[in-house]
Amino acid sequence: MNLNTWWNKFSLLVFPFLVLVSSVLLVSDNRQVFQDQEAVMYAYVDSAAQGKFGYGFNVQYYNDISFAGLEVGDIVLGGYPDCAYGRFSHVGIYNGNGQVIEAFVDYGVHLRSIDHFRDYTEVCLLRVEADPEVKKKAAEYAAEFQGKMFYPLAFKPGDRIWNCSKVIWKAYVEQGIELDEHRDLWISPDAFYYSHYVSIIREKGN
Amino acid sequence: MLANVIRLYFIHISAFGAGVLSIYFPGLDIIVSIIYLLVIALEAHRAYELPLNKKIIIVLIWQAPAIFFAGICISRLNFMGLYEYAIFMLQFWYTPLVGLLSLAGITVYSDKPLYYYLLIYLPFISCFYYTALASINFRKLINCS
Repeated sequence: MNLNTWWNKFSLLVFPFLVLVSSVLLVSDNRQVFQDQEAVMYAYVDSAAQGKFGYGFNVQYYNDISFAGLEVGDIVLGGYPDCAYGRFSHVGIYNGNGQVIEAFVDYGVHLRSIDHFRDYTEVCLLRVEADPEVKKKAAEYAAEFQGKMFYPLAFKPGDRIWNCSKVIWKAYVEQGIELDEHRDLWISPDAFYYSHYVSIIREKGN
Repeated sequence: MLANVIRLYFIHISAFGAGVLSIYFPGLDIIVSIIYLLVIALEAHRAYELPLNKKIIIVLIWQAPAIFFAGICISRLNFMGLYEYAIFMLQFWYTPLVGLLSLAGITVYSDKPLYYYLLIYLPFISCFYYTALASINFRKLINCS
């Protein structure tokens, strides 16, 4: 086989080979997740079967939820109709002064006014049951990643690639609080809603 | 020419899978991105003997989805309600490069990070990358040096 033929085959086979090896390693590292019927990936598959993809439909909406009494480190959830991965499609961590740390595709991890959560048809404010100092540290930790890249399918490991849920999950894991009790490959915003570490301050929607 | 296009799409789609999975193994995503650039360079080299117009047609067909979505982002045209999803589609299209793009996670202009601007201009950078490499005679370069 001459060099050109070898390179031609290399070009076509290198990525399928990497997919195969990565898949085997990922599955063997996460057997319990693949056996868990409540894992986020199965929610995606079920939603896809119903014709639902992505974060749902951004409708013109204005919810009148009150943000009064929020503490630094509280969690804010928002959801559009027909979201593929649960009731809520987005999440942010309250950072004081009417602002949340969140992650979105065109801004990466960033600080933004909490008011945009009024655009969601589903909205919920959660209080993490922890010492205020711990919650403050979690918010500060999340703020360290401002500007970092957003990617919707960001897996839990690593600190270069984030999605909105991973930032908050990691911020609390670093403080010793595991908000994802399923220990999934990805964290959906709904995982925070169902966590035993949180209480619902108030919510609106269905 | 058709074979070049088919090969590029096959490579791109399989690199998408490798790119997504590599995020689970921090560091591997960067290696995947570098391999992707190398493989595209090899593919460009395969097209060296084709006339320039054919090279341009190949690269435009290969990058057509990205050019379409980048056009929506730049023009802010809400074509068929796709404006809101265009940047997501661009990001998925460039999943093979997600490792290198993640290194551009710094805010540069108008509160937006560098990777955002790279995503929008990557279709054009990719076209230039392929066409330029497909126009260089590497054998001659190596012999000269």
